[in-house]
Amino acid sequence: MSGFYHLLLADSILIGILVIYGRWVLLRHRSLEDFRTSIIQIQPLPPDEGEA
Amino acid sequence: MGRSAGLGENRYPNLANYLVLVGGIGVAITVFLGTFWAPDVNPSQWRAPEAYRIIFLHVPFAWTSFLAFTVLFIGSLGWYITHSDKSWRLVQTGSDLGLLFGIGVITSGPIWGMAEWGVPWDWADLRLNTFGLLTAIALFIVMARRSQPDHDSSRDTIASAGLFGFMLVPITIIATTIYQKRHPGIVVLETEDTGLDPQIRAVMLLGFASLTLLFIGFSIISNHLYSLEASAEDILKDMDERPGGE
Repeated sequence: MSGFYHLLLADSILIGILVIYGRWVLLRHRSLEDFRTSIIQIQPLPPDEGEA
Repeated sequence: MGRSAGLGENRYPNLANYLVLVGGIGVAITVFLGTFWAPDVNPSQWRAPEAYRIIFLHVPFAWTSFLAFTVLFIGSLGWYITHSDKSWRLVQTGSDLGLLFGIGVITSGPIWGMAEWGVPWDWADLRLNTFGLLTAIALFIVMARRSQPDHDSSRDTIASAGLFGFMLVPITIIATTIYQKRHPGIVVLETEDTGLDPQIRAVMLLGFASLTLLFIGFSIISNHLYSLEASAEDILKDMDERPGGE
């Protein structure tokens, strides 16, 4: 099986980097979602123009 | 404000999920077929006959990286012409994915090289070194984007790297035609001297189709994320500039 372990290593790395990128993108999306939610919550209310 | 995705668009299209899923399944099938179905090669002509099966992902990764560098080129050109955020998002996405697939090629290649050639790299081979340079340019662009202040002037510099770097793509593609040293030449085209077993070609093309679907899915997600990021930055900026908004 000459080169079999090289094949195993190469394929593992290639699939691994695709999985790592996919997870990174999903985690970024989630952290961005949390960040945006916190921005919405702390946004000051617009001034009430009807107040005296 | 309003240059990028609004607050309501908090989810990328479901199409991206399907593309990533189908592409991922396709990659798994490619690896399976490449390992267990694709024919053996003549062991008297190959030093590491089993390692040749790396080709079923190595070559599709290379082709897909060219797609990514093309996206980077289009984004860079668009940035210079229009200075639009849409073009800049293409630069961001193209450089990220160019780096991803480029790293795949320059790690799997030397592993195969160690098995088949006895050396992981050949500094005299044109294709190896032009592709390595292309991946290094993608790395430079990704790192520059993350370390430099985000102004139009730094974007101009980064986009110029994307434009000039793309020149390496056609050079890399035809490298083995104009100057072949160690890396095999173009094999997918049938000529008197080159050609592939139909089963090998079929699995390789399946690998490319799968990675292309994965690439499109990742591109959609990446583009959406950078759009959301820009939108969040705009909101923060507006809050800072609003009277009493500290």
